[in-house]
Amino acid sequence: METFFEDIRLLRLGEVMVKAENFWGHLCNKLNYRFFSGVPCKGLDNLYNKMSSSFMHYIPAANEQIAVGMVNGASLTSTKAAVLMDISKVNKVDLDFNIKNSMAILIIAAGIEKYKLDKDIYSLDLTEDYVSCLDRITKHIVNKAKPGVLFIGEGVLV
Amino acid sequence: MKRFTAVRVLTKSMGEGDVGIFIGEGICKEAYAYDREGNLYLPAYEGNLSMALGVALCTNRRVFVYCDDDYFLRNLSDAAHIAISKCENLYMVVLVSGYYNNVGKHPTIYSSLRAPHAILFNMGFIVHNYGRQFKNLKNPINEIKATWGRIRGPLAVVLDVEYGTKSTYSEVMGEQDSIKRVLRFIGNEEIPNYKYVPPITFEDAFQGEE
Repeated sequence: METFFEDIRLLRLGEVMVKAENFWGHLCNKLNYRFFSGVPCKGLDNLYNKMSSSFMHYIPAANEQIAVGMVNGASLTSTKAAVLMDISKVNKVDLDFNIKNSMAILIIAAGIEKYKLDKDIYSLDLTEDYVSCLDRITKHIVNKAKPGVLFIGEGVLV
Repeated sequence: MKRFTAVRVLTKSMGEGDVGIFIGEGICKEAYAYDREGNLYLPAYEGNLSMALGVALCTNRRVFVYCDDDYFLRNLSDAAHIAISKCENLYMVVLVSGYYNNVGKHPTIYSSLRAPHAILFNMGFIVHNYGRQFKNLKNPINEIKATWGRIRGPLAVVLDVEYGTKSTYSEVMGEQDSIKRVLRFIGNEEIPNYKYVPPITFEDAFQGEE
């Protein structure tokens, strides 16, 4: 009953909203992404609140470059991994290693506005159809072996 | 003792199933002369030390990461992450020459630090210095192998080496080839591990999830 009223409220608001637990459910249990690292970011608060060690592991890092390094290392063991960070830091992180060596990396970035990213980085905005967004970006980065950024705008995740 | 001798001895002290990550052009060339299937050759980019941590967290193989003192100083926060990780299969080897080897005799600040071993110890590493092994023993390989067999990480091996390198080394294999090879090596179950249980086992952790 509570979820029914919550869904009605979301429809009446007319905003794009994705539930964080559904997001994690698809990313971790269906797409099998299990290892995450990143620097805590205000825009991803709702994601952090729904994290659980029962389906994923998250290692906070001192800076974004360390998080990218850890995720690259996890990828070398065939473990699917992603980085969580603020969108404003994506251009400041050195992704040349991934681009040069065709190593796919998924970056989940949040922020108030989307920044213009490097042309070698594929980016996609999270919409209410989070399933196809996640499927599309993960398939793209694996097929093209390049970094990909999933941008989560303000208020999209609940 | 020159760095290339130290790299030779330490490379031969690794086990069959161990992963060796070499960071920096000079170290990579010296290690490539004694190439192994589990070796990964990386340039001295930021974040490569934490790549070793990412590998160690997700595999039950031992992971050895080799770097110079100048790279170590530039990436102290990566080293701090390694130290607090409690990854018993992760061993960091710092080859301290006191100079920027690629550029000529420009000194690093490592030798000016009051107590560099104490910095590592206070971060959380077990710190070893193998000066004795190289000084008094004819063949330190077996002793170092035995020491590494008994110890659990995260271990920091600090070794003082003399400045100088050979000019006759061949070019190292490409990074992409090295990465693909290590990917195959880590996943190859026929190559034995060192019987280590990692802190997180993905195969068992998420069985039966909806």
